[in-house]
Amino acid sequence: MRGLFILLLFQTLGEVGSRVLGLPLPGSVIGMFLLLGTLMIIGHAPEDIDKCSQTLIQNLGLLLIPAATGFGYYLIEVQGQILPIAVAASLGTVLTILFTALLMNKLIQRNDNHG
Amino acid sequence: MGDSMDDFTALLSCPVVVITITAGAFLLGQKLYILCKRFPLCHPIVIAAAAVTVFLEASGVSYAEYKNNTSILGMLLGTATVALAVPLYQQLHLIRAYARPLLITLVAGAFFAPASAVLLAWLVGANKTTLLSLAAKSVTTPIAVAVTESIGGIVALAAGVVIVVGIFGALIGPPILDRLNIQDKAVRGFTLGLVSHAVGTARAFELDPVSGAFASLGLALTGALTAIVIPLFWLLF
Repeated sequence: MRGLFILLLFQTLGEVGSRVLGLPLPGSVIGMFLLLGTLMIIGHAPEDIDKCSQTLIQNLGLLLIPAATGFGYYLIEVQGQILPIAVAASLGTVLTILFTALLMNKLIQRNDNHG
Repeated sequence: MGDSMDDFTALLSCPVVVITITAGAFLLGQKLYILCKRFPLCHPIVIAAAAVTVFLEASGVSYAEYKNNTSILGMLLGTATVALAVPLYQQLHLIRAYARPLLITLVAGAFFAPASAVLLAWLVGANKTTLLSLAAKSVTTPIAVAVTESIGGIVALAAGVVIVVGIFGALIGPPILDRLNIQDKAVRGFTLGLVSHAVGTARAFELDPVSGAFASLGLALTGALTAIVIPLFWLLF
């Protein structure tokens, strides 16, 4: 329970921060960075926070089902946009894999050569 | 007679019923995914979304009502985003070993993923709403949802694209890496996590635990960086 309370507390802090400071970042993302900073300061992740985080992350799929269901309905509504969406998702992904893997491979080889 | 049908539909659309249906659909998805030997196309979310769609069509509950009455799941998605700080913190030690290659690849890759998607979509006629919804395509879904909301894209579209990209990348990523003859476990993992977030990370863990750890790092860092850069970028233009 303490784990969930702390996560909700950071989410709330993030929401408040996002609104009060007028930041363009989503509140939950600000909450994530605040929690990351706190963990770095205290030097470890307390067990109850770790457990609650794992439970939420392992069941992330459940939380995404409403949005995933909406995707199908959305595509039916905007049929003209299916081609650009498909091209971006397929070709864009292939190009990003090639780019990322080749770049990092080159950088690591250079790193190793220099000792 | 018509009234009792309306009452029945109203009952079917209330929060406890639609959330139970959603949880049941997810459970079904998880079972079928294991039956399909974790083949990425049988991802639990894909099966669950299909099952919920069947329910909505059969019951006459509209998607708008369904979405409205499951809004607590959206709130918890924000909590799960906060929770991502924990695995990010736990993988931070990997950065020290590979600091330079990792950070350069992170910045370049996290820029390349949305830029290539938006450019390709624009070339084949995407409208502004679609472009805004594609910006977060390689980011883990809770962050993608939050970012898309903040820049004014369509959340359902962004979430759908992210899930499709995750599954597609997890399917074609390993064969592409083999074809390029890239054997380094750090490179294989980090690429899968950066491009295909959680689905790619799950795939990387199946291939090798070291690749899996680098994939989690790729997922978390890409999400964190994109979460900051896209809204700021959007503010400037």
